[in-house]
Amino acid sequence: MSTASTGHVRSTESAAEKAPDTHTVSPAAGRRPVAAAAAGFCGVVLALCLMGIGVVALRDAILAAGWIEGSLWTANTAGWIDGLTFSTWMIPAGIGCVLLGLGFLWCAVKPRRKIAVALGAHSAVWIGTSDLARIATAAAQSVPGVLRAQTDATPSKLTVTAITMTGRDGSSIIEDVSQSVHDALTAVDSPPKVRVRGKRAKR
Amino acid sequence: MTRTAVALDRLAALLIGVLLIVLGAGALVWNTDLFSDTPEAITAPAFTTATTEPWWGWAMAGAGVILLVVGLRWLLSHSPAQRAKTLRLDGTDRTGTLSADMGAVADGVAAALAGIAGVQSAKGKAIIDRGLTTLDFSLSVGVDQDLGPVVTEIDEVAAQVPRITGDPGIAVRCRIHAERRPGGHADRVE
Repeated sequence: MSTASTGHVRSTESAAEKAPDTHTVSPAAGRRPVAAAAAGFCGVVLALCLMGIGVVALRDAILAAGWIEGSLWTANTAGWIDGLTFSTWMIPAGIGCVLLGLGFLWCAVKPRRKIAVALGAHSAVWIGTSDLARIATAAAQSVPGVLRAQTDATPSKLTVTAITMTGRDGSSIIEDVSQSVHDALTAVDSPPKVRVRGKRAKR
Repeated sequence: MTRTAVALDRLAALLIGVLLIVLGAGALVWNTDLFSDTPEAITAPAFTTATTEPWWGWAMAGAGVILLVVGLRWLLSHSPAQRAKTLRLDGTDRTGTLSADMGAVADGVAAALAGIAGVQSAKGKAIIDRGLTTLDFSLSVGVDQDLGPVVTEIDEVAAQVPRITGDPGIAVRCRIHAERRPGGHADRVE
């Protein structure tokens, strides 16, 4: 078993896993938080479809054993497929199938969405994009002349909308808000771009 | 979800996607002159005949059970990250096993994190995240909190973990949450 004195950091992400200095012992870095894979939704749908087909098969098995009465759904399906000719309904159905198939393909290859950014730390410390938005909003609202603020956030960009009082110079407020937000995000390893929009409050 | 489960979902989505596109494209070009040898009608005599055979009921019973079990197992693979339960400690030999409850380790470290100035609360759990045994912590701070000193102290606490567990391969991850002010406006996140 390895010991803690090595100070080794397993590197899985670039931002949060800086090499420790010689005096710091850091644990291995946890993986970056990400949203659930889009393919997971497809997996749930397909698993339910699989179970649905299984229920139909069991129903036909019970019917074949004579425990219930009716017609075999699998036989009906086979009879419907056998001898099927072209019909006009196949055009919209075909378009639907192609679109649905493209959707499945997109889900299959879509990367998991990043939902957090790294803070400048030796260990893996992350802050969620929504939390960054809250911090930016609070920082903007702390500026004199700002009545309220709202932030739209992605891991790489924050757009702060500040509703300002009519009495102050708009451009100077925007500069102050921008500075305040930047100051609030100094602990972020790679701070997102910050864009500030000012709106005058209605009289 | 494990990486295997995600990979299975991606593979299944890929295959079904291709199948749907082929089916849809087939339906769209069926009545056109793009291909000269398109049949007038689909025939499936073997399928039709099979449904009348005496073994069809047994085949459906077997297929139904298999599909239900596989579907249920697949569905359950979408559960949240698996918990890491015990950690084998140094000193384990033929005479006995020494192990630590990973959940208790996470609780202990979370208590230390909760003691950091500016941290309102801290919770911890031991999980297996994409194949990596991880002590995962969630810390709440005020929205006005200066994060720099908090991060420095988190590093100090995290540095204790390899000494506690004796295994630097056990990962640590801290996620900081900024608590919303009461009555504050909701921000939008993409």
